[in-house]
Amino acid sequence: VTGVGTCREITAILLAAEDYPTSQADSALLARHMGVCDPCIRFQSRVAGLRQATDHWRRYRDIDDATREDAPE
Amino acid sequence: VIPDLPLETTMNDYTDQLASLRPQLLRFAKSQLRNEAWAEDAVSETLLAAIENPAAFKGDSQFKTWLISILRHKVIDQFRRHRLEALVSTSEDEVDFNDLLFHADGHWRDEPQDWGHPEAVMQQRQFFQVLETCCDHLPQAQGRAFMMREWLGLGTEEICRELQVKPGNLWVLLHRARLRLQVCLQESWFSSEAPVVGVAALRVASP
Repeated sequence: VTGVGTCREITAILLAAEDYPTSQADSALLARHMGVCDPCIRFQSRVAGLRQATDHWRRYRDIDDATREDAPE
Repeated sequence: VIPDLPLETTMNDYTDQLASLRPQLLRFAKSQLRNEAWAEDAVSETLLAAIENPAAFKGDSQFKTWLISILRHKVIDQFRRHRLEALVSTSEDEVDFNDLLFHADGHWRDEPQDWGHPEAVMQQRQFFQVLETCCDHLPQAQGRAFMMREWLGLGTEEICRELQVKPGNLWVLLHRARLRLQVCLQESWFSSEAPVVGVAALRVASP
């Protein structure tokens, strides 16, 4: 343990935050790590990007794609 | 009375219209349930509900959207009915992408690249086809867990309760699913000059 955690630990916290509340200890670790790790900052924005894409896709698919006449099987 | 249909519409026309939507409903159910028989049952129950109570359609949304809202409930019913097997991990579910992405000391093997502005990507229909393909290629239990969260909008506690799965197991399934989707999108879209739907995702699904 280095005090800022490893990138593997940080990605686990970032991904879990999509489904679960983040503990105070994890939030503090996240803040410390993000201060020193650009790759994990990029990963964090990718998680946000996937969230945005999934929300968008769900709406698009419910209304349009799931009901397309030419929808691939 | 079926509000969105012309007055002269007969029950036969109504059932014809339902039958014509069956393939789309089935595709939707299959993508979530990942089991042909369960999906058939969910769709049959949806169509039956629509036939038995056509007046439930209020006309404030599209007819197809109304059917999909019924289907969501029927899909959840199927998951409940098959709770003992729904989230049982396959060998593919057990593959941990963390080992591919990180060194033993927990640092990135290849640092994640920037995806740029997601807004621009979301203007492209093909991007969503890639996303859909990546979801379709998630291992069975991961895919079901992910779809329950994202498509059916169930909370993690609700999934654990309905399917009698341990919280730790669901955590692992969702974690692995989200990590795989990150890798699949990177491989199939963001690092590809001319994204090809399906091909790269298949490769990623079997490291």
